[in-house]
Amino acid sequence: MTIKHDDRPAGDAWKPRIRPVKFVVAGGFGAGKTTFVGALSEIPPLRTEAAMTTVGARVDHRRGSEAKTTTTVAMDFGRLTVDEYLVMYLFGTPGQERFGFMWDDICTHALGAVVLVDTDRLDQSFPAVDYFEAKDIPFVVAVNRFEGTTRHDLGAVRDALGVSPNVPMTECDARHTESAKQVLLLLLDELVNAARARAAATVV
Amino acid sequence: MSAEPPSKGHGRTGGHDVVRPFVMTGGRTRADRRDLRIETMLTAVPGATTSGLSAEQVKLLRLCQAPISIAEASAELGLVIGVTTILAADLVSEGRLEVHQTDPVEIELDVLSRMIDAVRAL
Repeated sequence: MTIKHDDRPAGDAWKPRIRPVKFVVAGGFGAGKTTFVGALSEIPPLRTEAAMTTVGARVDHRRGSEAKTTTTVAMDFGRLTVDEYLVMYLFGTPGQERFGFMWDDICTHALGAVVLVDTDRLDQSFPAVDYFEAKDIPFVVAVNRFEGTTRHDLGAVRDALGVSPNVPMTECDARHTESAKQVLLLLLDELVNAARARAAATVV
Repeated sequence: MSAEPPSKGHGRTGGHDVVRPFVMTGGRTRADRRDLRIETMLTAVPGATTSGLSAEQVKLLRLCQAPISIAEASAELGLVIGVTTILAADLVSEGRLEVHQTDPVEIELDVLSRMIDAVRAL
């Protein structure tokens, strides 16, 4: 007697689900977000603009002119096709802090995030770290080593950022695919650990 | 609420032309569906017709012959994300587009493994 290992209906056009997964690359202005995305993406990073959402919450329809005070923010993203049914997207957050309200639109349902840190502008990384901690989005911190920047001990960076010890931290050079790969793999390892923990918790 | 397709202004105007996208969406600035996110992928439902659609919706539906994310479609159409989302939401509610997405809490280990293999192979 044979056991069938799947339950696809015979003769039916059964297909695996199409699954887009989203990763967010955050960090201050000039921290190397687009460079990082470009190092991993199979396509040159695409640029798209978000605007309507910023207007949408505040438009008074009786005063249509209000709708014209639109600002747009550019967002760069890349793509990594795993197979026909699984696609990874890497979205760089707009660097400016004043667009913080857009973060929910970008980050909701993100699988995980990379916070890129420029040690010369450490304070610019605070909003990202705070955000992902508050939203419970798994993240790793990657200190982008630019030539000529001051080198800091990773422990000192961790202390300065106030990142908890269980958040993985590493150095990288966002210009190089091999280096950017290691950062993404560190994040994926984190997600594997989280998935294992979830699985263990559900088997009681 | 007929959003008349504009007769001029084709091409990638991005978000700089503010009035045109507003017209395209029939004055709406927010999609009714909150489940359409930047990474959400769309595919045209087999046999979906273009009857009664605006020029932009026809373009969007054509792009969705192969799975494409809202972000990619926006870049391709030269529209801001919010406008693409509203156009897509209408097509979804009319049964012309199908929505594909992933809830992070349900991601399985084998899916993660496939991603790890793909990243290692870069």
